[in-house]
Amino acid sequence: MNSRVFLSLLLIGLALVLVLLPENNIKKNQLRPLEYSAGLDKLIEPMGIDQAARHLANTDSTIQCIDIRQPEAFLYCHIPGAINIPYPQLFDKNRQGYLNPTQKTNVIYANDDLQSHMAVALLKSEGYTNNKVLQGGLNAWFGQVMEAAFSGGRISARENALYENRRKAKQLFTEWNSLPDSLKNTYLETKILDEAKLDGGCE
Amino acid sequence: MKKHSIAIGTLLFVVLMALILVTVKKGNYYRISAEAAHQVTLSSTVFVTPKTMDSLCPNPLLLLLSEVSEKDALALDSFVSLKIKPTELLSPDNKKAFNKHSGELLIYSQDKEKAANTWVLLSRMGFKKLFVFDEEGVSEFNYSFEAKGLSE
Amino acid sequence: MAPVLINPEIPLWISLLVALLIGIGFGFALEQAGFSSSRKLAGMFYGYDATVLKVFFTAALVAFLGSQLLSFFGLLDLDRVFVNPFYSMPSIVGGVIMGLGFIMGGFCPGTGFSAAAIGKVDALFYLAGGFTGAVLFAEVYPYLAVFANSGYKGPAKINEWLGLSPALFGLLLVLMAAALFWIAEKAEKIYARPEITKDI
Repeated sequence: MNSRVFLSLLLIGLALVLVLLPENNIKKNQLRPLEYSAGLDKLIEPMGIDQAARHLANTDSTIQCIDIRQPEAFLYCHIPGAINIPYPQLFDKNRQGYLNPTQKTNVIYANDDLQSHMAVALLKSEGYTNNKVLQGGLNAWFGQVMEAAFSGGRISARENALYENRRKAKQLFTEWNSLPDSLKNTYLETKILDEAKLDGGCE
Repeated sequence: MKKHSIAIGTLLFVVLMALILVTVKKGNYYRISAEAAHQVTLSSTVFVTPKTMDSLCPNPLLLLLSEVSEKDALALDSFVSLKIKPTELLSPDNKKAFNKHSGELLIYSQDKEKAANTWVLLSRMGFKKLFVFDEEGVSEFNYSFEAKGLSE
Repeated sequence: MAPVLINPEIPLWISLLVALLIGIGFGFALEQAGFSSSRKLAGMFYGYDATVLKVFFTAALVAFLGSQLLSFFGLLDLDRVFVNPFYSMPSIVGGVIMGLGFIMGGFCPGTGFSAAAIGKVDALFYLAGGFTGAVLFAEVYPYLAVFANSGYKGPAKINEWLGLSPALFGLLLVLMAAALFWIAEKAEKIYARPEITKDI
């Protein structure tokens, strides 16, 4: 047989085999299935409400909250500094930058933690490992922070610190969500500046 | 040159086919992308509650990643279950059991994170009719927020 | 597009060495296909020699199928491969200019280098003209910028535009290639010109 014809037939054969193969979706920084399943007993700890409240009260910028609810729910109220990426748009090409950060850790939350767990699992499967879930979601935040009350009487130092954190976070939450949208952007920045002045740091 | 090109071409082809067969046999690759798995969660309900169990999941094989809690035992006692260690999820025996079962696969774990990760992994490995059991399902926002004026 | 290798821990000289080796391979392949002869290259346009079509189309197919295979084996992340951004009108105008230059000069830029490497004087002039044209373009670019950046469609892939999977698109390309090669060989017989290499 003509060698050219034979080699063309080989190429056609190769192309046919490729069509019959399942489409492989391995990206270089993804874990392969067996490695992924091997890591299933060492999962990422969710972030507790008090820890998140402490980050918020200290205007700590090492975490970034991401709200995966619908925009209407986000506009109603959300954790200060959070950005809104509705769950259906999780794999939107424009948002990929937020979901794969190198400098911060993302804390993803919804009303409870079921959908956030699914979102974090999907992102982890894509290779974006720098995401955590807010334990209990916004319902737990409201239950623990917004309705935190001091009943009076003696409490331990730890409880005192927890209550103080929650109170500060609650104040921040209320002030932030009472602001019109245009002022929200400058709010956190001025707060950080004010606190720096109080601390006596360099300007 | 002509004879050599046929020989070289055939050799390359055979080597590639062998490599492809080995990779397919090992099966250590995803069948669908994470984005496609995300689409599945959008287009159909993945979370099954005791109320929706009959309509979504009438004939499930329960994949128990942890012990069944007491309140869930009522809903789940009547079904065929398989105790699985999450790290051995993709072992050949487990995969055979999943494929043999004709109904749905229902993942149960008291740790929601483990359940979600398992769902994503199995879904990306090509298993359809895959659900996660949760007694409440996705919940609404249970509180109301009052905006207050600023103090200054 | 340099460095060639993505891993930043690999030193730059290895990256450049890889680029050099790839270039050597490309020049070698061009020369052994006979593309230093402008007669062979222009033959594509006059119909008597379809070697350009066969070699370049086969190379593109091998690269396409090979990259799909490498992606299957997990050795290549296709998302990181650079895809040329597509500008619709500028592409057409550029194609017309390149086609004119190709048929008039008898070389395209890569084959011009391989011809210059074997000592052809006309290839040297051709390359000098190429450099001059590039410098001129850079000098008048501010006037052309608006047109040159119009019709931007992003890094477009044909299989995405058609809604086909890459593998299916590859199969269609291979079949189309086989059909085209068969037609080209028929055309070679129709437009054949007398062989003159023995007379020179």
